[in-house]
Amino acid sequence: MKQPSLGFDGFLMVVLIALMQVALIWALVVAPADATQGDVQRIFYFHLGSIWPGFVAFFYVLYGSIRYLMSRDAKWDRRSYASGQVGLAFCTIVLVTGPIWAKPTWGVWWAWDARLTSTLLMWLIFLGYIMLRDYIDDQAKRERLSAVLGIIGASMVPFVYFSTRWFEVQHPKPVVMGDADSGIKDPNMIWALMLALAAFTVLYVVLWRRGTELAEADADLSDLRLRLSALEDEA
Amino acid sequence: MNSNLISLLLAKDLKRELRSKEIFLSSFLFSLIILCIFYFAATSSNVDFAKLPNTALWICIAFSGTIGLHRTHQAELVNGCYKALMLAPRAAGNLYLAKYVANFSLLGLMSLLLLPLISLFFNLKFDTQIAMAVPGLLLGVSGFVAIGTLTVVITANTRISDILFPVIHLPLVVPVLIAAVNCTQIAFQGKFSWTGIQILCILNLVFLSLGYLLYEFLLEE
Amino acid sequence: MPLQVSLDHIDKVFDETWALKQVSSQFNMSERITIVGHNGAGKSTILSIVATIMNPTRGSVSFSNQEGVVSDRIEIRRRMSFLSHAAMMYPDLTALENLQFFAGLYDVKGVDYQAQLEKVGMRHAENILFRACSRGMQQRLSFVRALLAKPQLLLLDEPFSGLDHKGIQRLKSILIDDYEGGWLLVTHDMSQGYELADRFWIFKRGRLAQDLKKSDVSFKQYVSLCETNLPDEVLL
Repeated sequence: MKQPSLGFDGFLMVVLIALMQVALIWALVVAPADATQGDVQRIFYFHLGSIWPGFVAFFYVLYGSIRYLMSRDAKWDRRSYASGQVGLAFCTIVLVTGPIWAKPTWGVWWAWDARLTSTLLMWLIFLGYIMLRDYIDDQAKRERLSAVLGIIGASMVPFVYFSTRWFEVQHPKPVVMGDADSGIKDPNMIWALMLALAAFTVLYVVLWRRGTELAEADADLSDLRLRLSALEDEA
Repeated sequence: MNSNLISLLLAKDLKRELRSKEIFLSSFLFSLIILCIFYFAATSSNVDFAKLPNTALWICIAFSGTIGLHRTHQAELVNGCYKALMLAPRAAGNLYLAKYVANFSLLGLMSLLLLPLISLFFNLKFDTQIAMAVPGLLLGVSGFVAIGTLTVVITANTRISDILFPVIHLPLVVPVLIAAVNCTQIAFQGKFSWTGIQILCILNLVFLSLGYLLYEFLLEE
Repeated sequence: MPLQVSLDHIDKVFDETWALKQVSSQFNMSERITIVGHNGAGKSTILSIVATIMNPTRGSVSFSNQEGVVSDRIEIRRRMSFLSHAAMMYPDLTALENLQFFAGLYDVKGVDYQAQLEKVGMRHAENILFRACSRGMQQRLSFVRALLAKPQLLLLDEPFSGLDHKGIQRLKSILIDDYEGGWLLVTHDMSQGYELADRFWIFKRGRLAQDLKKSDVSFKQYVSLCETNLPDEVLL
């Protein structure tokens, strides 16, 4: 049984907690309120902060899945899976904070804004990636097929991203109220955004490491069960 | 050797389809009833039905295409025929291309059969509006099939392939649908969208390369 | 030249159950081996692994000739045919069309389909849809299909299931008289297994419990070995 490396994880945890506090203070206190949108604009720091690790997570799924298919080493499957789960969680944050911001700003919860639409599609793609596993019984098959789907899904992300924007350019919507990007001008606003990005990135790393650890423990457990059944068989 | 494999699988699938008429029945007649429902739903909410040929066309293709692809692969699984393809002494990439061509021919044909219906129901001119929509339509269906040929095999290994296939497949083909929907809409207005066609060609190229490289991993038990 | 096949410490695990445990053996593709074992003893799994369509969890299978290891899967697969209780034939194609399709898939040219069908007594049935064939006819067609590519190694997974006595005799005589290569035959019928083999593998709970040459054991010894390794229900 290997001991999880508490040293590095402990360090990450300290960094994460510190960064989160600072990011919160900057976003809620130090950064000025937006001139036209008011305080509601502050949710933007967390909205943008979580989409970035979402992308990172999905590109890790692409990387891990390729590594899995090349090596057939289950550890790459576990890492990709953990990354996919965390990415899905971040996408969910984006999908929840987006409408909360859109309602007072645009007057509607959902305006088919390209950013949110592409996030919704990404969310669906990776929900499929996570769901697929639950319905395949054999482990080797599950790993192999998930890796193939992970590669297809993650390769689609840039296309989803650009095609929704292209569509928006082809079919411009009337702007209801204000403009999304008008806000970020004050240097403290930029700081708040940077801190949020940093905090959410570290949060992704921490969660991904925890998720991987959990999957490793699960795999260790089933390996032990398997060895036990082999021993019982001998007896 | 490769073209021989393509014609082999194509001839096999076309022959099967001509005898069983599975795709025709499941996809084409299904599209017909979708169009009827679409008419009632649009008209009852005071939307001018005549303005929606493009919407109707792509809803039909997304739904019946999904059913059609799932059906062709189910037919492949009867009697363990797909296992014969796994065992065949053939390069996986070539098998993928052959399977793609066979699937594309069936669904492409099905989507072309929809055009007279769209022309009839929405009063579109066959020689200009409809004819101009053909390239965008076929390239769109091609992208749909290029990804579908992979996803249908992936989901066939699950316990609930019939519902998991659309749930996994459709979000992946949204980029191609966005481009194709634009293309045919512009065609129905009597113009031709070069940008749309170019985007569709690029997407098809990417999808086919992905399939060519990844199919090997779907030919295992 | 038939290839030498070596199985090296193969483990196969399906969702926390062992299908194969530390299976090691070597054989030549021209050998005729019968595999017996109770249900779930990993008999079919070993066929899939040899057929290169399934990867073992641990361990490896490798193929070699005098010049060394053959790693080209296409080259390996060309030498093998799989025949199981699933026919691998399309229900909506006729008997002849199915055979033509498989000949194409294996790139076999100049096949005399009439003669092939004649051999299994189905000359009259070439234009019948496979769907309309009886179980026995379907199995006979599968035999023709498997032998079309002139394999060096046949992978036979319960090939006689669903056949009557006469049908079994006919197919057995084809295997013995018309076919020159070797096979791995999975069967639960012990006496048939003895008759058709020159080597036996007896599997017990995923392990290769016995690996015997026919020349070394009499039928009686073989039966008693099977009895000690297999639970009662498979003894027919």
